[in-house]
Amino acid sequence: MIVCVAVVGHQNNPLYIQSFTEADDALKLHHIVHCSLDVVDERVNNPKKSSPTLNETFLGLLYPTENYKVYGYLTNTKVKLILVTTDLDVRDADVRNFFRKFHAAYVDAVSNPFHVPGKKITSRTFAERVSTIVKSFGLSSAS
Amino acid sequence: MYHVNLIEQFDRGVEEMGREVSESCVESLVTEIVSSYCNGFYADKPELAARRIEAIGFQVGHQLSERYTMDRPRFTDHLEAIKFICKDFWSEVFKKQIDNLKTNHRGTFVLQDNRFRWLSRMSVDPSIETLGSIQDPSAMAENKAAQAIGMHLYFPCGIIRGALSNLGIPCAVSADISNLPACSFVIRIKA
Repeated sequence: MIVCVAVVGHQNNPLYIQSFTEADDALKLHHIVHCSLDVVDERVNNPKKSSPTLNETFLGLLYPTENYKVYGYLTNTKVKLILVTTDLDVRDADVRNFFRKFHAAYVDAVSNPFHVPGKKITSRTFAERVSTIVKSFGLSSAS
Repeated sequence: MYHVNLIEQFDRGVEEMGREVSESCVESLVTEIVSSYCNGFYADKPELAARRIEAIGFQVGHQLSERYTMDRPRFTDHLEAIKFICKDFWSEVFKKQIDNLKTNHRGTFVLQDNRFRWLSRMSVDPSIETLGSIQDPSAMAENKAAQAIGMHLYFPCGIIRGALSNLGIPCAVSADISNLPACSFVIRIKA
């Protein structure tokens, strides 16, 4: 289950952060997202030369914690998309698929002429679309 | 803000190949933006009108670059990003690529388009040209025509600057008209 997703701007300014848990642990999840930004910076500044995934937008598993796995995605415009999940065996393809849809939703949201670049995304349509994507996460693998 | 909206739709149309906005609409819109800023809002302040038009272009370029770079790996250097502007970005917006790219390898790039779409149906007003039969006003009329065309180039300049700055490359963009409909855009990357 996805517990938290976030969009972070190129100056590490939060653009959108949303947790999907019943419990009151939003602060803890925000902290995890915050920590992951350093890992993203590290990945980008010291890329593994041998890796075939050089400069790919999908950064893969950033770091595992006791209960969560954190995945990252960095767009060409230096916008970071972060995913926190409680699932322990996640298929890479599912995560990639999730980020692709999430990115598309983000692009549509910022293409709104009334959206001010660099400001938080307040669009309700975007929020709804993201929660639909979150709900459908991993469903394709079940079938 | 209607103008940006329409271009957004145009842009989405290209992506889905189902919904498209007439190219002539976009072209008329650009012409109309230029004329209302130059002759209406800021008739006596051409520099201010230019800045405003460039700012609209900036926002459009900013948003377009977000969409067009969606499915590609991140750029490693400036040249790669400029090449992207010349090839993919230009084909999406103008249905053709840039014809010639020159650089001094020190942060200046010249993008030459031999048939720039937004200038391809533009002509110099003959009434102005006939006025130029007398020696001195001829130069003035020519100057005036060049100025009017130059005004139409602030919008595409803004688009390029917006796209590049969203890709993390702060720059200044200016345009040169050699002979219609060819024109070149000069990009100076700020160190």
